[in-house]
Amino acid sequence: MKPPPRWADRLLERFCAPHLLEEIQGDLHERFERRRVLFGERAARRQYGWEVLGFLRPFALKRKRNATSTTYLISHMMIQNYFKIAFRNLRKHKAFSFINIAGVALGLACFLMLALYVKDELSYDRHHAHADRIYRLSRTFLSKDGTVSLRLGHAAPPFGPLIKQDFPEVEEVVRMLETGALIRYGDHLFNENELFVAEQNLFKVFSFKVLSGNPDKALENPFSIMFSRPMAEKYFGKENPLGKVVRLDDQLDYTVTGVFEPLPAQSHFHPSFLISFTTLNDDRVYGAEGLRSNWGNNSFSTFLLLPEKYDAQKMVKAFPDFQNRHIDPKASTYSVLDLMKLTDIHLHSHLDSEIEANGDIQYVYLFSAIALFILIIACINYMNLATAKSATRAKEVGMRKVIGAVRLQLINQFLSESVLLVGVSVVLAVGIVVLCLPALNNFTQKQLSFAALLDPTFLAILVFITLFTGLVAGSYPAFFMTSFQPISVLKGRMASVLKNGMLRQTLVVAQFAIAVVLIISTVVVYTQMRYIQNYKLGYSKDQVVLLYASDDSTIHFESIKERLKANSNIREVGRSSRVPSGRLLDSWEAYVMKGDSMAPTDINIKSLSVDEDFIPTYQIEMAAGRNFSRDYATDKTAGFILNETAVRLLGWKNPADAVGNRFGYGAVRGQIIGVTKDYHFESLHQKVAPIVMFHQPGRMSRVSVQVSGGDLQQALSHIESVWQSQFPGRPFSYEFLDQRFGQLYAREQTQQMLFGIFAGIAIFISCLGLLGLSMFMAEVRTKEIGVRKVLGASVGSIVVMLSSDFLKLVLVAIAIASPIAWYGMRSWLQDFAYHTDISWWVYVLAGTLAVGIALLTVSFQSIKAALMNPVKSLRSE
Amino acid sequence: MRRNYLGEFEELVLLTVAVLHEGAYGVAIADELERQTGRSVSLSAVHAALHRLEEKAMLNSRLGEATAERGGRRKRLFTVTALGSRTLQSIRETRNRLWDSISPQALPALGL
Repeated sequence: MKPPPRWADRLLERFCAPHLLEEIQGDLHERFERRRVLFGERAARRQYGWEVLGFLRPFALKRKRNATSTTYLISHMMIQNYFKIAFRNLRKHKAFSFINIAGVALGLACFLMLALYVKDELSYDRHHAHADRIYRLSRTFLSKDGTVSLRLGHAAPPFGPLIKQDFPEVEEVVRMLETGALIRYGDHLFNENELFVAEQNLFKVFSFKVLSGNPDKALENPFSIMFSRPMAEKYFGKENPLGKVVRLDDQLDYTVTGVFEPLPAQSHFHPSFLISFTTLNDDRVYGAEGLRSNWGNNSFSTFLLLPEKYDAQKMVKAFPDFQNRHIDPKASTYSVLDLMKLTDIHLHSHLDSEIEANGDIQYVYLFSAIALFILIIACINYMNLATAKSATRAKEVGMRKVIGAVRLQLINQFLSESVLLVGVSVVLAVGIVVLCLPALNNFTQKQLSFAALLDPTFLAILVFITLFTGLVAGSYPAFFMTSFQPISVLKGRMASVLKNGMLRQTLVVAQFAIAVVLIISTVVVYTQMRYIQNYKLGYSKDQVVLLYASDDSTIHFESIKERLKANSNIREVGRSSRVPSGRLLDSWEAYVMKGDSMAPTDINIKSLSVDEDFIPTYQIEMAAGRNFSRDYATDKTAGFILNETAVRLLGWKNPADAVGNRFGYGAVRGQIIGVTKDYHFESLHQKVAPIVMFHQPGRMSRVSVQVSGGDLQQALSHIESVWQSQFPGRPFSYEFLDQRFGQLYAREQTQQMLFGIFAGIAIFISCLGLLGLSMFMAEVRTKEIGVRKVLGASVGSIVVMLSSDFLKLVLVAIAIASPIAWYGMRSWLQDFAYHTDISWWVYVLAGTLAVGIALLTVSFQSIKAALMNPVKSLRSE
Repeated sequence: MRRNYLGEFEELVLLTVAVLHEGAYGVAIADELERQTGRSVSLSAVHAALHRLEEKAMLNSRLGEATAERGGRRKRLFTVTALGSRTLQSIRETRNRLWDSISPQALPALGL
């Protein structure tokens, strides 16, 4: 004979009010016994459970009120009372509550948004199952003097298989080559960029979700291509992509062997297409020999899957020998291999070649710091206002103490009050975040979603922040106010307690110091951006339209140029391998005459392939000699133009000395025909590099068209019509050089805006605090002001008296903030090879701004207090 | 006089307490209700109604004896108060008056 289910009884005993338990449980048991006889044990037990659940009703849950009070520290009655009083207080002082809640909510909203951003940044590449065991191979080139000349996130193709051969413990090595192509399927024709030629074991290393096709076989055969889901929809619509044939660059046919889900936004690479690596063996594409021996083509992303608990550094130590064995015996003196963990790439890798622009750990630190700062300012605000307000609460504290409150109870009260206030603010803050999220996304180029806020860890953080902020912000007022002696408080001797607001003053200073640091930073970033915009680059970046055309011997560029220039709006058309605002990544050693023969110089010079019209197109000035010319046939095969930096590095004093000398670059020998003035091909973060320009057929795929004022729109349509007639059916796409130029400093633009926004918010919150404080001060000193006025003080002198207290604090804050800001911004400016200095007026400006805003905030209250009729303030005692 | 409002179920429970007279407690009331109305009645509903009626002062209660099948727990016995009795009476009078005012043709015939 079994008793009623234990769980049900336990549950009942838990939730049922004690004074009802006996009769209810008795009835339940009695009915159970009856039912067991009638319907059998199982049915009775089941029904018992249901009956118990039926008692989950208010009447059974509600506890009987105790007539006598308990003396527990945390009794729910007292907590109820705390919240009631807190709400009454909030309602009573509406302006104060508003200032308090607005400040905390704004601070929290900033904090939440930054936390979302930081969390997103930290989550890159972690979705792969083996993420912690995947390493990327990178290659660094050294100059002869040991300095780094180039850091690449890619490596040459032979490394992959050789690593697998020499380090058998490595589980997988996968190579990828990123490329672009024109893809044609029926009428669909698009220029596509993110094509990755990848080895078959890609899916063993990275966790792709393959939607159709066999992941083990899809990248096996040459000329296989896989589409990402959006691309498959774009090309094939509702058709089944498997087995379809697409044509790349109008030359080679590829068979679709699968569709995969694109990688999430938090990935450092985003393939839209995957092509089988075996395709590269074909001589029309790359050639098997090249894959085996092309040590100079460092464009293959190479990833290693290492065994668990494997020490990657051990492998890195073995790399010099490895290179000497396979490339040449001295290889390790100029080439260094390194490994980087996949999960570190997004935030820690800033090499000269990366698959996509990465984030920056500095940013994460900066953002975290700012988030904390703003939160601190908001907390300070709360503490400040609450302590200031304590004067009006002092009587309440005294009363409670007299009636018998223990100090701990009072502390509890003030803490629960601040937790309540922060709780309200959190709700508001979440609302603000929801409203601002689209703007934040737009601004950070991310897809942060509010769903991330609902993630359990984040919710836990939110609760933690609420409690933490509430407790920290509430702790000072709680301990301060509860220390009042009831006797002095109730007799009205409060002023003496409140006068020495040392801590309050320190807090105001801290708040304003943070705000001033942010203002100075904003101004410095702004001046540096202005400096960059106005910097003489040495070439003309305005109204240059950039086009792309593979440099094919079948294309007659001379005729295209003629046709383009037929339009009066187009001034010049030049071709080159790279265009200004890009990076210069090709470099070889220079040779000059020594005695009778050409000797290597140990100096690496960056190269740029250009045609005769490149220099005129960009209006680059010549320092000596002449530009390439169609009149000299040898210019195309043996003419070099250097820039001034290269000339200096090679040891000539004057540009003119260099002209006419014999010169060798890589395998090409020829003569220096001219020297250009230095121009800033790369961004102003870099010093001007030594550059050599010469003619290299097959490499000049970038076309720059200089439009000369006039009608840009008409020029564009002319360019398009020429392009369409020359390359029928190809999509026409172009970009403007000044836009690309802007992208070089996108990071700094973002920082500028960020600093601006956060400086604004910091100032705003600080001012809210100041406003509250001045309101309070004016209130406390009402009588004093009245007496002063009676004795003949003018309104002006009273305003000055009330405001000067606060101004002193702000001035101290400026004094503290200036050196901190100076130090921080100086190191920020070091990032630029060319930068402005922080001049004195920046501090003056920031200082004036802070003082001005503070004055504005305070004077509103002081004037109001000073204008008050002394009769009113002195009438009652 | 404003009469305390009674729900249908409350009314039934109150009547049943009167029917059972001395032995009215949770299970007995539920069983009697099931027997009289033919619908299944949960203990919790009965208890909730008893609780409400007691709050409205239509019922009195005291703790009674314990039995073995209740695991030694006492039962709470209910009796109808004067207010409860008056309320029931007035409900009945209202009903009677209404029945008396219905003309014989107004209701569809039940074949009697």
